Amino acid sequence: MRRSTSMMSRSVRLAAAVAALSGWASAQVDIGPQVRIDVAGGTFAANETTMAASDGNPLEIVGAWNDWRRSGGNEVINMGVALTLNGGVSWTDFLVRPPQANQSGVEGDPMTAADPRTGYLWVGAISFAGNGGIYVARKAPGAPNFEASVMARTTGGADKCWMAAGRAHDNPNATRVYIAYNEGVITSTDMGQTWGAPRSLGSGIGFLPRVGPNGELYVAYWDFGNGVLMRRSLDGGNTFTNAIRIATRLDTWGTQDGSRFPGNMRVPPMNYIAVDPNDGTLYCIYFDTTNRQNNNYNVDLYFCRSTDRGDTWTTPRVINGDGNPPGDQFWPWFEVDAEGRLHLTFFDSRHTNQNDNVTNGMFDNYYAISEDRGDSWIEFRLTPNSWNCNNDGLNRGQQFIGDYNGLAVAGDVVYPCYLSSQNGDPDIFTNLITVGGEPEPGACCFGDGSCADLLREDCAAQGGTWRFGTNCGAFSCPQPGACCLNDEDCESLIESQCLSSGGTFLGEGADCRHACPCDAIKKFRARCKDNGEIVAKVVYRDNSHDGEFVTISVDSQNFNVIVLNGKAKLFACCFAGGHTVQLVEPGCFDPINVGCP
Amino acid sequence: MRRFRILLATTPLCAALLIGCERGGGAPEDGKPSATATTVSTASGASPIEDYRKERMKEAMRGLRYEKGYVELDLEQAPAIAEEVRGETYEGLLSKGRTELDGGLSVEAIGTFTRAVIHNPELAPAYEALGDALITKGRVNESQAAYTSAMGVADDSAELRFKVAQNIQRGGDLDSQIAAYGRVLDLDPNHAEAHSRIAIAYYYKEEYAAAWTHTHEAERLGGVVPPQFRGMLSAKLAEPAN
Repeated sequence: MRRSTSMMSRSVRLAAAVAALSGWASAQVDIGPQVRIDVAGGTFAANETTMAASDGNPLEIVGAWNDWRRSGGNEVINMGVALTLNGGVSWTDFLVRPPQANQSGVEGDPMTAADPRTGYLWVGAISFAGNGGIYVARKAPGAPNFEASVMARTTGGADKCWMAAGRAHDNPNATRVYIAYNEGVITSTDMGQTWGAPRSLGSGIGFLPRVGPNGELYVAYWDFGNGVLMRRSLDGGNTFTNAIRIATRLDTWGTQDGSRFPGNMRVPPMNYIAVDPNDGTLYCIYFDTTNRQNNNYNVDLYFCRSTDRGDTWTTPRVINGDGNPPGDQFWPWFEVDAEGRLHLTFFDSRHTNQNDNVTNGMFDNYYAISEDRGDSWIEFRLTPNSWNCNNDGLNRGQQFIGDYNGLAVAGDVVYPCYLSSQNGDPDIFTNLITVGGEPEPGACCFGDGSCADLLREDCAAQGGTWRFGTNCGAFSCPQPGACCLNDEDCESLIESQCLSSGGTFLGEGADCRHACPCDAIKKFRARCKDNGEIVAKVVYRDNSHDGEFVTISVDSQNFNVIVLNGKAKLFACCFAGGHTVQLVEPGCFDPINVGCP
Repeated sequence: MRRFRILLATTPLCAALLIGCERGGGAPEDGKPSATATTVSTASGASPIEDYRKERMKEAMRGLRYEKGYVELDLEQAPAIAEEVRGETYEGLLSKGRTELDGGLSVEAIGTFTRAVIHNPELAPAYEALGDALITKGRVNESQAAYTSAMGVADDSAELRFKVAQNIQRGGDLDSQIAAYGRVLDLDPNHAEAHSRIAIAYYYKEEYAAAWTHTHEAERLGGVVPPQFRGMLSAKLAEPAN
């Protein structure tokens, strides 16, 4: 179901009838007026936007972009930054530059991040010079300004970086900050002051890190070909899985190519992921050619979802509305809020009937929301009129409007961040988009596999994991199973709890009694000899457990037996009739019934 | 003095690949808003970001030329580089370049593969690796030139032909794309992904029956067509009996 609503010059309140679509939730979407946030940049060029905010500090939002305000006769590019400390009521904009020794005339590829745990904000970019590299600056909650920037990585070869912050995989009370770029992933465990060496993820571009609710790290990227790929790290970026294929593109083109779109700018086809902060559901959006009409490419946004941390993905499908003839939709950026709603912004050429070979490509910016995990979307046009990509403020052989868009969400407020030349020059805008409506209950899953329909806050208070847009009648909560925590310990946990505890999950319903500790044990035997002596034997696979004790019971009477040469033997005398012998610790074998004369 | 071999191009690449070819002029169409921005420029008319990168690329690519659609040794630069790499092995350079490419150091890899080509321009692997590295920097024409040169030395690899076809796919000419993936099948009739790519090209050409034929062939060979493609194709033409 796709619907589109035009943006008016004043704030509009629209009751989005998502309830009719999902049968569950309803929302009111308030699209605030456009707010220009690069005012100090005057009429100089600006593009390539990013924005960050978090529930941990919802009034402070940061945006950034490539900014040409220091240019004289020749181009000088820096990172422009806009900051609000009052939830978007007022903004100030300024430049954030690398340390002096690493500065250059070209500082771009901006990125931002926000930590939901602490409310810290970061901005960063690349100084394109031999002594340049990736630099970041951070801002503490409540502080009026960003601290002096630091070099996260000094390198002359850095290309497109993005960053993310979230809880550490091994400590919910610690934050890890990640930057992913062409040379790999670098990590900071001190809130971005110092950074480690890159862990390579192989060849690719557009490496985008995201952090899941248990500290899982996901990095999506494009392989320059047909592959929409990602890698996962469950140990804070120390090790990664091999590449996981999210989707296979039908069409592909080069990083410098924009021939499938109106205008004369490049449109690199990178892909984007986001993570539900409640249950860790992963989402991916990328853009690809759907078909051709009259020699024009029809490029659309494709969406898919994973509920198993990226191992498997739904079939990609188009999620945008369109015109007739169809326009192109590209450069999506999206986030998932605490209620599980998806918020998306993108560029769109649907409002002008135009061929791909026109120089003056006309575009709009859109916002879309999904309240049912991406199954349906409501779209809003943010720009009052289409803008011309030729008004890029640059005098180059090829137009340049950046390589991506941005969007942030804090609480119930969404902030898209985008370029528009609607006023004749390239400016950076945001809107305050408020998503309201009565809170609705969702399925709340508990560690024992039980489920209750609760509001998100109530679910969190009771220690559950909340699932937006569904209920216990329609959703099956993850069930616990054996989780091997080390050589000897097994607990019955749900998979996400197991993995966040550093354990190995053996599958839903797997019984600890038959699980991990017994991997070390080759066999457990018991028999009764003719003289009534019960002999029980535990045989380990090797001698590594020598000196430890196992506990064997006969009719519930426990005996501690030492392990020697990989074996523990119990001799108990003397019995008659039937008896039950059990390996109590580790408790991973069924009891054995023996019969004595 | 090493005798440098000149390899012939097989296709006019600018015609085959729209990328990098001259596009239309910059005059605004009538009725569209005109720019009022403060317009800034570089001396070269290119992005200064690209200027910096181009300087690095220029140094990495020094010693080879690509203008003719295949790789030529730059007779002014290459001899000195050949002297520089005299003490290194061809295999060592290839290994170093592949490590750099896997580590995301594309420009460094281009430089290393360039030196490998100069070290021995009569072997195919360095050309192919150079083509792989160049595509990571969006250098589709140069990548294609490198692949073309690799094929000029040894045209016995279906995978190399597949890479050539992928570059043509990037250019967007559907007929050339179908022909290029067809040349993959000439060498390896069981190449499932080539069938899959031909199916997609036929879909874009709105020749849906042919698209189904190649979809089925790809699946018969054990390949997996993109799952969204099946649905898109079915929406245009019901799946015929296989």
